[in-house]
Formats: sequence, C-alpha cells, structure tokens
Amino acid sequence: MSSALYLSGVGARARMTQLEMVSNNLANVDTPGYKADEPLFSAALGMALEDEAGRLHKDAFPFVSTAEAGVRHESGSVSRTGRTLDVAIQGNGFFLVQTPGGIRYTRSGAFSLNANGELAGPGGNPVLGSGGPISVGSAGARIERDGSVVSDNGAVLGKLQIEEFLEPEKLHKQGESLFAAPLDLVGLPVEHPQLEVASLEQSNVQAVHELAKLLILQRAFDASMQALAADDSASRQLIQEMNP
Amino acid sequence: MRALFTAATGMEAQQTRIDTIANNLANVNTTGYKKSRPEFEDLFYETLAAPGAKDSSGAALPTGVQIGHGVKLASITRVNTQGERIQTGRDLDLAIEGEGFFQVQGASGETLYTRDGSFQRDRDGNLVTRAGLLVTPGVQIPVDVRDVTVLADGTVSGVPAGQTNPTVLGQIEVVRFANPSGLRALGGNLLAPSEASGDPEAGTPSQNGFGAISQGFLESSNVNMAEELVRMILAQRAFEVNSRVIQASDEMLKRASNL
Repeated sequence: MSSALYLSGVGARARMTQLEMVSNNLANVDTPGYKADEPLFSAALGMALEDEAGRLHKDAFPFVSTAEAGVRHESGSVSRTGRTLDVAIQGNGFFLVQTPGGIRYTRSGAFSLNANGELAGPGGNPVLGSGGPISVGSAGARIERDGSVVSDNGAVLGKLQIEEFLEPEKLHKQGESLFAAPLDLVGLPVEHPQLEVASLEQSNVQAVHELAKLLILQRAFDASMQALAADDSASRQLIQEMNP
Repeated sequence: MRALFTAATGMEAQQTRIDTIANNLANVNTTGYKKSRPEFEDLFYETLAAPGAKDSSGAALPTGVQIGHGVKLASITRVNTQGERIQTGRDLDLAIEGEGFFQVQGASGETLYTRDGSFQRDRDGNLVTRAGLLVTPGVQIPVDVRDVTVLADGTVSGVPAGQTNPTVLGQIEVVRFANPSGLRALGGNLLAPSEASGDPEAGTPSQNGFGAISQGFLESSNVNMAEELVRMILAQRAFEVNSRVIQASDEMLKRASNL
C-alpha cells in the first residue's frame, strides 16, 4: 500500500475519533459537573517529528494519531437551583464519593439522601466528609458555603471533604460523573473550600466551540477522503498502463 | 459508527428533559405540586490508551485516550422546596409551612402522603381529601360545629351548637422521610413510600423541625414558569446540536462509502 493512501486513511480514522469525542461532549452538554474531552492531535504530530532532544527525525511520517486526549478541567458555569442539597465548588477541587470500587472524585454536587439517611452523590454512593459518610437522618439538612452540612435544627452533622490535584489531567473518567485517580496521583485536601450553595456546576462543554470543531473535522475528513480517492485513481491508472 | 449512537443518547436525554418540563408546566397551578428535575450522568468510557502507557520512543503518555458513549438519565428528582402560600380563607384549607406531609388512607387501606391540604368533610363529618380519602389519624367534625380552628400545631377545635367554648375535635399529624425525593408519585397529588424514601417519622406540626400548619391557606405549586421556559429553550438547542452530530456522522459515512 502506498504511504499516501495509508496516511489519508490514518487521517480519516483520526477524524472519526474526534467526531466520537465531539459527539460525547454534545451529548453531555446538560450533565452537571461534566468536563469536556479534547483530542490532542497536534501534540502527536510534534512527537512523531521530533524526539525529546529536539532533533528532527527526517524519516518520521508526520501523520496524525490520537495518542493523547485530554480532559478540560476548567469550571463550568454555575446556575442556581434553590435546592438545599445542591452545591457547586468554586475553583479547583473535587467531592469524594465512596463507591464499591474505592474512592472516586466528582464535580457533580446534585446530592440527595439515600435510604440510610446518608448524603449521597452520583449513583446513590455516600459522599465523604472529613469523618466518613455524613449521616443526616430524617430531619432536613442544608450545605453551607464552607462545606458544613447543617441540620434544620442547627446541629453540624459533618463537613464535606474536598480534594484537589496538581495534575487533574491524569484522572480517569469512569462514567456516572465520576473520576478515578491513578495510584501515583494524591489528592490534596482543600482546607477552606468556597462553595456556591443551592447551585449546580453545569457542564463545561461549549456548544458553539464543539459545533465549530464538528465543521472543521468534517471538512478535514472530506479532504482525507479526496486524497484517498486521488491516490486510488492514480494507482488504477498505473496498473492499467502497465497491463495494456 | 459510535458517534451516531452517542448523539442519539444526547437527543434522548433532552427529550426526557422536555417531557419533565411539560409535566412541570402542566402542574403550574396544582396545589402542593413539587417540580421534577432530570439528573444526567455520563455513560461509561472506552479506554483506547491508558494514561502512563509507553509510546514507541519509550516515553510515558501523560494522559490516555478515553472515548465516552454519551449520556444517561440517572434519576428524576423531585425538588421539595416550599411553594408559595395562597390565602383562600376557607376553614378546611391547610398548608404545611416547612417539612412534612399529610397522611391519608388510600382506597385499599394503605397509607399515602400528600402536601395538598384542601380538605373537605364527608357526610359523617370526617376530614377527607378532595378525592374523598380519609385523613389519618381521623378527625371528625360534627355538622353542628361552628368556627372550626386549626392551630399551627395541628390541633383542630370547634364550637358545638348551643355552647360558647370551643372543644378539641382532633389532632392533625404530619410525617417526614429521610429522603422525600424517593417517594413514588401516584398522581392525584398522592405519594407512596418506597424502598428509597426510608420509613415515615410521624410528629406534631411546628415541633422538632416539622412544618407548621396554616389554616385558610393552600400551598401552591413550586414550579417557576420563567425558569422552566429557559430550561426548555436550552433543551431545544441541546437537542439540535445533537441532531447536527447525527447529520455530520451520516455525511461522513456517505462520503466514505462513495469512494
């Protein structure tokens, strides 16, 4: 197979991957605490052409690959809901959730109470306070700006634990609005968190941005397909001329 | 092509949101109605390259490649904020200010819960809901009793014919749940307990954190029309962008198959 044909194929494949990411972002345009996926094509291109010392590799094909993809961790906009168990983190940090598979992290603060009367996050899993799950019982509760969970009669029931990461891009997405941390990534407790109460952090997907990417990737896909067709017809002509 | 199905989950999610908004708006004048809100979560991810994997030059990738499969409906939560109190002046219209539900007896004897306090008297003088379900614990108000008064703590009293001093006729009790959002809506302003709601805890109104009763008032729906309309516009646009992805995927597939 000619390298031009192969390169066009790889290019088209990369656009497909990008389309899948754009599609996932747009499907989650309304998911609280969702963080957008971003494929890093240019980084892959640079890596293929240069090594760490900055030497150019003349024999390296500058083809595009999806060796990397990042998650954009900037905050989404915060919208007020008025529900006392909705809370959004201002700035960095994640809520901690105890799941059967271990501790997971989330930015989605649409909490509720599970049947045991514990404050629960995504999937009904208990949210962790500084001393483990926070038991609310049958009286109502609200969350204050510093993360304290206060019952309706004024008793402090616990304080939400919030941790931040130096390299949040190393977190793994798990679905259900949860992130998992690899072993070498340690959460640093946020001592004085600033929370927006009775509010939710919206998805940080920008629909306009994603639509622009969609248009660009469609055109790039078209171009790859055209290059493929051109190369194919050149090969066909060559074969015909060699077999008169 | 995964993108087609991913976008379809997005459209389905927005459809659910529109369905919920429609029901909220339809109940904008329903006594004691609590608005619902769908909660979404991202679906599972396929990992194409794990973070930390080595590339051909031996360098570890700082981040991996994960492709998500769209969005799913996690739950539809009832938002139990207080609705506005509307003055009616009717002696048997009761509103709970704060936490708690009235208890009524369902058609097959089970206990059901409601925030709708527009009560009536049946022909035996029993306090019943508009649908004729008995309020429990029962309160009987004889026909000849005048000036029925319900105090903040739920005590029902009235002045019997030929007397001048009021006598206590009964006591209205309210209940609360660990997770009121977990109650199952049955329609007719009625809620049933579920596995998720926890067990009911009964109490006296206005004591121990229970809401107080106000007589002559009804609790209106907590649906905010402006808010619902804004959400509807957002849902419509989100639906559109997802359909745009389906269109783009389709065009790309067509292009590839036309080679």
